[in-house]
Amino acid sequence: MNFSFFLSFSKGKVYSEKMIEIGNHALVFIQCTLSGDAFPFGARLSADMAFYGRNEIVEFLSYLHPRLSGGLLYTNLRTLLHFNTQDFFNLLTMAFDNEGFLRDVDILKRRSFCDILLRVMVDDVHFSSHEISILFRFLSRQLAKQGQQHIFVQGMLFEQVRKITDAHFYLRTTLFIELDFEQVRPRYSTRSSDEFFQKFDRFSSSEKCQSYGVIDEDFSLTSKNLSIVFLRRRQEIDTRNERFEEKSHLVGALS
Amino acid sequence: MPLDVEKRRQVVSERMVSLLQGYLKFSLNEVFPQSGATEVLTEHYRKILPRSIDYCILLDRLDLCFGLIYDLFSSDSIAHGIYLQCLEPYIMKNRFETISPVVLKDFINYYAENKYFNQLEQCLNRLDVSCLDIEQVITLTRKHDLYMTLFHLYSEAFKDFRTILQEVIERLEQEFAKNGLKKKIKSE
Repeated sequence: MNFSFFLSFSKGKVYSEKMIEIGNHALVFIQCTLSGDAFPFGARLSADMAFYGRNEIVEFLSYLHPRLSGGLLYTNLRTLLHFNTQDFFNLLTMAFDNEGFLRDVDILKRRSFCDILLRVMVDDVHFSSHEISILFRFLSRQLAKQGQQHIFVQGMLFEQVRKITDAHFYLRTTLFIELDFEQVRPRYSTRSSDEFFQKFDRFSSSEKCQSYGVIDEDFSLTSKNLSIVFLRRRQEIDTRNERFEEKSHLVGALS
Repeated sequence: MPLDVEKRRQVVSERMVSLLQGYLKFSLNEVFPQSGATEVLTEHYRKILPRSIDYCILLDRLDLCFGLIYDLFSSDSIAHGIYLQCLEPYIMKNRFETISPVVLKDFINYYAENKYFNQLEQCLNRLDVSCLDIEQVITLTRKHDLYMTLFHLYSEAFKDFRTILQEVIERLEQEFAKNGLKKKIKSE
């Protein structure tokens, strides 16, 4: 197990060193349980225990009102995200790549969990745009996975991407492309994204691939897969539009 | 020597046990340093103990290790401390399958009294939950914030994945409310 993975620095000196250590233990514990290992040095959990543990953790994190005293919604998840956004998403990515996890935690739970992540981070003003961009990376990677499109992207998300003004330009473009891939654009188009896609549409397919490759510096994991799926999707939309135009011509000629 | 394999094994093992007893008797009486500083004494114990424990593991007679040897060494406080310290490397390498609860209790108390919390936590994480005195360990770990062990204990012994996580998150939340919000607002 890679412990140094989790030892990266948390935000400045918000937390004392002792708390950072304890918090990191908590992150490692969540990671172990989600991937079906016993914490900290044990062997694998038995199949029943792994199933139980994974579901316990996911349910625990998606509690709406975890405190008796009230307070913010989804405090459990929010606190962990504030503690160390990057590492929390790293462990989520690892879990979502884990076959056992995908088998034990059913699709509805995963979907609502992603929805909660989105709601927590987008509505909270205390998350920096960098931290929100980590969330989007995570979501777009999940979207890019074939045969696993369990995440329902909301219009709110698309609006939010537009608001990331200080984030890396490439990142923003990539996110637009990936969101378009889920056909968000027809429903929730915004001016800047339209401008972007108008430019983008003028490229030939190979140029699109190339530009995607350039854009995709940070996305080496899914880049190839994603660009292929994306292009196929675009072609489908294009041919549909063409057919529609043909039809309207016919209708015009007949009348 | 009897011809029957089982009987032969028994005779040999009895002989080996008596060898061990002889060795311990010899080294604690005949060559025992009569005068000198405590270092000499410590050095002497450190020489005898690992040898004897290795021997017990080899014979698969852990009862001797936690019975005979423990009794011999528990009479003297220095010897007792060194005996417990000598167990640590074996626990770290998972050499013992089980440990007698009496010895383990002493071990935990000794390490807690001497404030060797790091080593203690590492050892506790490696031990099977069933041989621990859970109440004692939980009181101790809570007192000294050994959360790694708490996570281990609760998930293994009680099949409870939430309680400790909840505690940690509440503590993180408090710290964040105290320092985090101010910092973040400043940086923005």
